[in-house]
Amino acid sequence: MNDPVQRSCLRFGWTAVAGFLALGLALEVCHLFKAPFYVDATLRRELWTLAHAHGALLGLTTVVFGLTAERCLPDLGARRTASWLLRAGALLVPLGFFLGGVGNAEGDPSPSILVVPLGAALAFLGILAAAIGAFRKAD
Amino acid sequence: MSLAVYASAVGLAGWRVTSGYEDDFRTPFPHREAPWVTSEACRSCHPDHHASWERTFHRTMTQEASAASVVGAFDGRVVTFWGIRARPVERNGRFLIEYLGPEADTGEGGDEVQRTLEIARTVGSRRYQQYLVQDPEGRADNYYRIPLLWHIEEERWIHLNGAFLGPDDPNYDKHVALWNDNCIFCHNTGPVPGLDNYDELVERRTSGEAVDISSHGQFRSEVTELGIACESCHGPAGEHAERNRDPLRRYALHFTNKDDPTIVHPAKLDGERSVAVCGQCHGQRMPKTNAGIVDWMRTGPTYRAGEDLSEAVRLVWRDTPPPVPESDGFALRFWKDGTPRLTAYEYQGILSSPCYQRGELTCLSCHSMHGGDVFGQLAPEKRTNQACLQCHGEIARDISAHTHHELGSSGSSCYECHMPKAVYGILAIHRSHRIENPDIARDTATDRPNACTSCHLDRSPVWVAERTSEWWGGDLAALARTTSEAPVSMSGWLAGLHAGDPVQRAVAAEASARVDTPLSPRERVFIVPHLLLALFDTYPAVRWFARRSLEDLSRELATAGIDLGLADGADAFDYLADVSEREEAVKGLMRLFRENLPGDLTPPPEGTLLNERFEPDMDEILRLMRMQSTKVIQIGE
Repeated sequence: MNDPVQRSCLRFGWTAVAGFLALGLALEVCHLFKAPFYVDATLRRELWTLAHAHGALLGLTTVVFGLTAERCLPDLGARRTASWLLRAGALLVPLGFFLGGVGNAEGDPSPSILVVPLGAALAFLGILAAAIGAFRKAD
Repeated sequence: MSLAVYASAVGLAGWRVTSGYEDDFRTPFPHREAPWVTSEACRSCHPDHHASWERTFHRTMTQEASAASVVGAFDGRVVTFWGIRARPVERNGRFLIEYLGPEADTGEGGDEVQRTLEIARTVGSRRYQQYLVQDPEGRADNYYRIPLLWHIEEERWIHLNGAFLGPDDPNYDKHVALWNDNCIFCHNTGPVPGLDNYDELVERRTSGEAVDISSHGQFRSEVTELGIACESCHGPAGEHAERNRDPLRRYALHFTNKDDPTIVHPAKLDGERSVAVCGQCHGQRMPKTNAGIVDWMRTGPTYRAGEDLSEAVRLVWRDTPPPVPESDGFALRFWKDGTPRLTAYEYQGILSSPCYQRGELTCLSCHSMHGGDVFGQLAPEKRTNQACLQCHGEIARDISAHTHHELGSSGSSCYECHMPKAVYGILAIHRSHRIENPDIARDTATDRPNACTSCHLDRSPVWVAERTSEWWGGDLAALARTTSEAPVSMSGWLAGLHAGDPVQRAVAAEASARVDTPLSPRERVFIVPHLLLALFDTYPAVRWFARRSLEDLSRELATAGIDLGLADGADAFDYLADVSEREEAVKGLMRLFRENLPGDLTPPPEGTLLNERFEPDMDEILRLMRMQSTKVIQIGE
């Protein structure tokens, strides 16, 4: 594992999976104790569940990216850029969902939710780059 | 860097957005002009408030009949009142009442169905559930309340004649009533009765025909929503929902924390308008003018949440002139000092309370439509002294010094003394919402149940006057100046039970089984013979309370080692049975009481009209009964 991109993706990806699974556990504890700030707030429940799910899934995506990036994107510069985009997106999307459920109104997320589309765009661009690279490699 | 640019752009947009709606937020909005939209439109933006309302009995006040809404036993068992046999039965998801032939015919076609009514809607879901059917004579939009109802707690069918406060009456259809001109107003959201043929009725009456709206009116009723939903308290929400489809407007509201003028928030109204939101239904009222009655029948009530209720209605008070001049009017719905004694007059009670008049009390000081348990819409802490200590914090330092009762006892509960249970409604006794100090002289003079004697069941008004004068000062001689028919030296509870009018008797019968009285179980045995006598009452509702108290008290005494063997008999006592059947049942219970009475009991307290063998002094009791008001009380709901 000499590729620095792969190393950083694996570190980030597994850390994200661990972190957002821990968030999932915390949410279950909230259910266990019927924590009113969570179970009685429909929108917050939805947003934090989305943070947990997106964080874990994007973390796994980053791991997969790390394992396959060298084959899809042989150019180190392109690989670094795509990796940065994906990791930024994988962080911002769940963070936006989570913070959107902090200090939110009953029917609307807090303004931090605006981080989500930004993160989603970055993650999309990173994955798009890998997808295009995969086609090129196949060519 | 890009994040910083992004955040700056968002911040700038936010500032532009909030400043762009300032005029909108400043401009008052005439709520009555907004269209109604139903609670479904509120759910997407207010899911938590929607959920907290959805669990309430307000939502289920009126429902279409379905397996989910019908709680009565439509199990095919026949229910008989005064010889009329009805069979509630479910067939293919339809809920039917089948009227059968008379019992005498049972051998030859007695079970033949003579008439079938299909339940269309239900009313109520907490204490009892009433049922509506569409007009069997073809006016499909006219709904009628049938005389059978299901008592949820008791799990039995009862007849309206035994649920409403009125004397025995075997007229089976006496309380059959039209829904469209009455119940529709308060049990639904956005009601429009839609009386269609008023002019025709006027013409027919002018030509000498005996017609009235209830019997001959043709309605095309509409409601925004069955049951009591969001817009009953927040006003018509169409404009609010429409304007807030704009996310920028919503965020402008969130950021600026300003009130949205397109919707009513009862907690942010001034006290008068806030209590009026509840008062629109929890305060009996009439249209401002008689002509207004016709408008109500056509287009519905004119009041909308947030408005001045007094501009839309006349509240009903004790001295309000009745619509029918020769009737007793509304006087019997109040104690003699004007304190409401029926449910649906809570608003009048609050308006009469010093806490409202001189303080900041509103309904929301204790109740919450979106919090607490659904039985009373009270948060747990509002069921305790905390409700009153919000304002009367100085008393919290030493509650016993204020109450002269042990801390934690009923005598130290604000509710028990300042909001005693003295209000009749829907076969239950409720707390008075006129919040005030107990006053034995006032209560005796006005025949009001007194908070002290409702707990100290063996004590007299004289005893109460002495104690209260000693503890809180006041005029000890005031009691002597009152003109009470029943002696003030005898148990006040007993005077209410035997000499009171039907509401007093019902309140006393209900108080009989209180478990928080200072009397020990052995000291409470004297109550039993009086409850047995109360089972002879001529008002079925009074017998209802007496029967329930007798059963509860008997079970409690049995637990304490005094098994009088009455509990099962009391449970089986049919308070609506024919008089001869009831008399036989009571005689049987009396016999059991005599047979099972332990010999080692201390004699009954003085002034309780019993001899040492717990036999009632019937001469004295009959003398008390002759003091009962001869005025017939006839009150629905």
